[in-house]
Amino acid sequence: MQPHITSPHTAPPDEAWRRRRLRRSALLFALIAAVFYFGFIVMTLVRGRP
Amino acid sequence: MAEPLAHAASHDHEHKPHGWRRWVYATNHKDIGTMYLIFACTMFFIGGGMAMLIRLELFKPGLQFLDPQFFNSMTTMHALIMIFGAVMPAWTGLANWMIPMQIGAPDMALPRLNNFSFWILPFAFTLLLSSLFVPGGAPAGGWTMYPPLVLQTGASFPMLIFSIHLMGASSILGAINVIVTIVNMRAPGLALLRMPLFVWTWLITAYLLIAVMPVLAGAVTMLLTDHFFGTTFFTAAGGGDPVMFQHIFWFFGHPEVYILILPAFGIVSEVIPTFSRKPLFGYEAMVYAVASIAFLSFIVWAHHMFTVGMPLAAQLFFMLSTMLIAVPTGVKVFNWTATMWKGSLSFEPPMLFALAFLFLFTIGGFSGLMLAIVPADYQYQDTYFVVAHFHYVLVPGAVFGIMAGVYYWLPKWTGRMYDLKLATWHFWLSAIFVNVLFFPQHFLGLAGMPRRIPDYAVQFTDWNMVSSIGAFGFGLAQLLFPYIIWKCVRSGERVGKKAWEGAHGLEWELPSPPPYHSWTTPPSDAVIARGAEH
Repeated sequence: MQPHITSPHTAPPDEAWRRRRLRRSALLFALIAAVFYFGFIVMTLVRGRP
Repeated sequence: MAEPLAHAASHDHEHKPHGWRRWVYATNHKDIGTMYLIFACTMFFIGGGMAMLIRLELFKPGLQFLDPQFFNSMTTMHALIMIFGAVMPAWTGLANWMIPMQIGAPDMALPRLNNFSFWILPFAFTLLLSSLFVPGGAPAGGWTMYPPLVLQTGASFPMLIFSIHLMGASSILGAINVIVTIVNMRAPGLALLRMPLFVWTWLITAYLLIAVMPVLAGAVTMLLTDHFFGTTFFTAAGGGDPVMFQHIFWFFGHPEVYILILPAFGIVSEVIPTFSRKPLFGYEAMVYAVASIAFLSFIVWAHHMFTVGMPLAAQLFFMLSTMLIAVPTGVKVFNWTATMWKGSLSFEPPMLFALAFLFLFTIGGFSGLMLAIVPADYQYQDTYFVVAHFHYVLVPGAVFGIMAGVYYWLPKWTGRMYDLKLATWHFWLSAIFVNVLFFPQHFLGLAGMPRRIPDYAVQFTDWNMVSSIGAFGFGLAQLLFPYIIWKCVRSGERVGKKAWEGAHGLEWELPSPPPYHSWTTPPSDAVIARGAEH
């Protein structure tokens, strides 16, 4: 099978920019987890009302 | 800016801290992976010991060795330890070891978070295991923790809840790390659809973890407040709904089953092509099949609770959506088979475990389809048939997947080959005894034996004896596993960078064992192209 390369080698990105990007993605997923945690508690409260 | 750093690091591949600091302050993905794997192995034997006690009690009808309350504690703790302490940390250990090496990254994206994720676990399980020694004993209401039964747990209740919170936090942090690593740290030129299947399956597993572990955490938080703070989320007397807990639990619980099995799909997809000396058949179809299975896992949860009662439309929806999972799963099974078709097969231990996975996991899948049929499920609910079903999925499924992975990559990790003959013995003993252990449980369930009981009617005696003999044989066979690893590390024959001649992937481009800091400079296009021949 022919190798399928989608992007050529580029110069390494700036370290500070890379760190910011890592931190941002980590925080985004932490936020998603928190939304699921609180969301389900709120849903139970709302659904639990007669 | 990164270049001088990478250059400096490339001259310092073997620099590593020594003594206890290397492990307590570990930020190296290989060290953390090793700690996860040792932890998982320890928990596997503790949880396995509990299983031996369960099967010892069930060898004959009547109460022989265990108090019924303690028996129930054993079933509950066995499940919690095997799921959260053995299988999940084993996958995280394999992810830590392999993902950076397979994507050409120098380490995980968040190494300190990685250390924290691991070190939460010993505390979580010390807390859970120490509940065996508090008044009232360890939790005994089942790993599903259904209220109102679980609310009757004694002093161990808050220990159970807190330990689950800790396990959940560890898993979520680990999953965040995996996603951030795969998304941001792949070597330039390694496109998503060129990644090894193990990386793909872990990426999808990590998304599942982030979506469902907080749901479990929310559910147990509500149990905690119901128990201690007078809320009535799940207490009918106060206007709450105990069935709501079941819905929330299984919204977590069903994807959890896939969290336990998807990385095994990835490993089998690595092992079968290597020992068939052929590329994986239908690589893209495999990726989409895993993604479909993960998506479907969110819309099938109520098949675990048909018997609580639900509208006909809901029963039909959950029955049909569950059956739909057989389609992408079938795609995978056929693709693995097609990969072997006309291949130059050899049967080293990783391949043997992968093949057993293929046959036996399929049996577990078929009994799952039987359980999905609503009117039939009314007969099977809470019988040993269910026990047989999920053990076929989890033992020759998840556990054999882990064994295949460890036997596949152990020569890479240690730079030494293990005793192939002994590992083959380990395989055959495991494969035979796992069937002696779990296959008769189908018959017991169909004959009406309920699960989670320490005593049973005499007509169930024969198959229970057979099942217990299988359990003791399987348990003893597992003792070979740490011995084989120990022997390999001590005195295994040295191997080159490519321990298996049919292997492809970036990890096989590194020396065996790999340097302490690997891929400090990203692999070149040529190396990526060579490694990415799926």
